[in-house]
Amino acid sequence: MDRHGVNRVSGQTSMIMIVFVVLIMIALGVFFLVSSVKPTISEYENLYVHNLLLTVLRTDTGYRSPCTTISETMSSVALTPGRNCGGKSNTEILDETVPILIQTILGDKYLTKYDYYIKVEPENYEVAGGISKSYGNQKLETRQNKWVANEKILQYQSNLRIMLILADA
Amino acid sequence: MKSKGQAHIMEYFILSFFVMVVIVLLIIFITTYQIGSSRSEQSDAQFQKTMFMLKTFSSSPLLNKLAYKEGSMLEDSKLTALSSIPCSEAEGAFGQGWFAEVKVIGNTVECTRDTYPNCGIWSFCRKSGNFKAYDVPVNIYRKTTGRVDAGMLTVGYYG
Repeated sequence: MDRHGVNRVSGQTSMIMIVFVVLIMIALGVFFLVSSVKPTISEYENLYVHNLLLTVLRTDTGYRSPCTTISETMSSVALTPGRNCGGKSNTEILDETVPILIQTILGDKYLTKYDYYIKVEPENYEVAGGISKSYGNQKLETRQNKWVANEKILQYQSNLRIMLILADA
Repeated sequence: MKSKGQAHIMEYFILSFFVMVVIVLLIIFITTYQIGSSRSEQSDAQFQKTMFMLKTFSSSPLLNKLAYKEGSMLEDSKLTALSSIPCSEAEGAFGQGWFAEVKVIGNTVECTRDTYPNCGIWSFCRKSGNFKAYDVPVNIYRKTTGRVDAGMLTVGYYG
């Protein structure tokens, strides 16, 4: 190999070294980036949505039986629609308490941070039908990033499914 | 011949300089990452501590109405009793450095032994200083009337 050949090999070795170092840098960057990515499901939001649903269901409406609490009113609406609870029908009471209560609890977070959707329906609603009620933004059902809480109410020998969705506004 | 040798030295000098720059950049990058991840771990630890306190507080039998195993049904008489004792005693039950507040929605009257039961705000171990806090909805059971109200439980840690 002549002198020109030796120089060419030396230049190639330098280039390979540079490329090798750059590759190590890129690999390190990718590693740090991947290891710093955190899961999007937040423990806090899960706790929040479950507590929100539980709180809403247990809260008193201020009306008499069978609409004493919101969960009782939900059962009453689904199973004995139109029933009177102290001057107002159970459906009216549910319509006026649920959205206001959720929005009040969310407070400043409502529409600045979170939006909500709540659905109440009998079990096997898809097959047996019945009365279904929902409040809030239905579009949240199809959202990818959302927090969901589910509860069941057993009353009058019948199950009710309640689903609350919370998502970024 | 001489100029070729100089070019060779120059080539090695540039290569060494480049490798040095890469090593320095790598050190800066790793140090920054370490500082960032240590801060993030500190913040995660505080978050986990607050979450634990939030769950403990909302499910503690010291504050919950009997027969509510799932918790989050705080009894107003128990809250009043706990808010009346010195913070050091409450810290004996729940640990140190925390504070909590329970608020009935729409009520602005601070609860003391004098204002109970016509009140809706209970504060525990409130001090001044920087803190990070989280809140969750809870129910408040009114022992005198049997009514269940909606409220917010806020728990935070100083520091």
